[in-house]
Amino acid sequence: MAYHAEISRTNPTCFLFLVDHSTSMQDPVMGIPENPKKSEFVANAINKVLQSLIVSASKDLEIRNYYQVGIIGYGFEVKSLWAGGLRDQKLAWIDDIYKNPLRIEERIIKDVDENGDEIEFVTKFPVWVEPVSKGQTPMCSALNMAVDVLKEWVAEHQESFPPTVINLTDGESNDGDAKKFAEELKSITTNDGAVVLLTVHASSNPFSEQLFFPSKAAQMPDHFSKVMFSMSSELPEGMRKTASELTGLEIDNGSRGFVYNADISGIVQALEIGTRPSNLP
Amino acid sequence: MPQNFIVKWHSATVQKAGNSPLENEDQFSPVMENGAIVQSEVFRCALADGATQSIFARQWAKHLVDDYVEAKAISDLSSIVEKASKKWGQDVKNIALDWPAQEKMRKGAYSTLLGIEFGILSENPHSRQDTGNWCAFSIGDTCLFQYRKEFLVKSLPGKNEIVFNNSPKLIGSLASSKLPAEESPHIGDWRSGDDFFLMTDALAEWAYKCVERSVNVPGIIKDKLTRKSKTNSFSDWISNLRNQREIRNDDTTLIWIKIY
Repeated sequence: MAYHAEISRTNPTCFLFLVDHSTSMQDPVMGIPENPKKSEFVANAINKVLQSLIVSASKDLEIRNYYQVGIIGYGFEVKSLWAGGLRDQKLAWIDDIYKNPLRIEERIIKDVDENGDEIEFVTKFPVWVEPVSKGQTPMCSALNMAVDVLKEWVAEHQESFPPTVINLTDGESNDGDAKKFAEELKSITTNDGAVVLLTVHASSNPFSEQLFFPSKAAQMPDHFSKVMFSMSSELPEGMRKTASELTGLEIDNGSRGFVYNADISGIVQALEIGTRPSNLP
Repeated sequence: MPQNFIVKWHSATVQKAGNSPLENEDQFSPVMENGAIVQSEVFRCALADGATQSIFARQWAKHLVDDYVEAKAISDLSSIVEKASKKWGQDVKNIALDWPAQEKMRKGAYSTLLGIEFGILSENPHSRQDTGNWCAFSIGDTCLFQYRKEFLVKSLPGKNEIVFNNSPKLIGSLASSKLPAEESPHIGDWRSGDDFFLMTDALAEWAYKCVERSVNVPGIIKDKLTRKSKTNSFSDWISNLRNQREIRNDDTTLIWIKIY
């Protein structure tokens, strides 16, 4: 059965983020001026996801190397976004990511305690990724780089839970047929299944309808969204369950890992669903 | 000296493959040599499975089983948990934590707990007993099986209540954590010669499947726990079951109590 391998230090898994850096990413999410710029929101969301992965890999006083993580930015250039102590790495171990943020900010978090009272506490907010929005949308080049990175990775991790690739974009590829490269990416396998490719399309329009994990191409409104639908993998059972739990929606068998016109919470939820491993010990 | 009943003890534990023994988060109390014999009018033991995703779960599981066994009375589980919670808090309060650990510390540690107390029915505590009663708490997927010869008399949690997944009921270590609801004790009786097996979830899931297939679970377990040779030991057996995908790769603990 696919997607059942346990994630462990012996058999780690891999997450690879592809981040659209095109100029349009400097527009606000959903086109609403009060919202943050898409590039800023996505960078912030990825930093939070990295924190969550580190916390989930932390055990008492150590960080267990359950994951390798890569981030490829595509805009005026296509390259790994790791910087500082992680510079030149395509995939970094989660323990090294923990040790090498660009900086650590302090942020005030609001929460509710067990009595229902609002509380505030200061928390550390490490930053690894900065917002960028400059250039075109060379998605094919990014997918091609992902193919190279993951072919190498699966050759060494055949018993592992397959890599998860999350493509965050607000537009169409303008360097070729992204579907072709997506198919090649999805054909890469470990003994536990094929690479899972999720697409998170950030909305630019306040009136556009968000489509969360659709199961039929006919649900898609235009050619562009149909292409992204077909690029995206069917959600494995574990992710479907997580998606149902998090969203409260019924996620059909055969639903694609695709969120179209994602609003702020849609982007956050999609990232959480893609990176909350159900197979951790 | 009272000789109300005799307990013969065997136990074995093996950590998840790929981990070190110090990372084994299954904890039990008491800890005795295999084949040890205890004569008593009351005997308690407890087994707990610390939740790997929580912080300092091994220490939490250890406090829970120790405090259960040492408690003045086992009827008030919440006071046992409260005492263990204070000890766990003392253990961890001076540890310098990095930010990921601080994040996990906000939720505390979690563990299952199965505790059982054997007692007597007679009002004459000095007479030799060949029957008695037991009282057990069961929170989570750590299981108890009572066998009379080869027949399963009782299992906890029951076959219809138990679900083996990644979200069993757990006891939290923080003072703010609440005990899972409806945790009243289970009671039963024992007869001389009965076998009690306590198991953490991976092996318990296997045992339940064996019961469904009418496999002689006590026979297999006793054989594995009493072999003298170093080869074909409990850990070899568990390793084989893991390799054959008959049990999950998890910390695995088995206690066998024979009472007579």
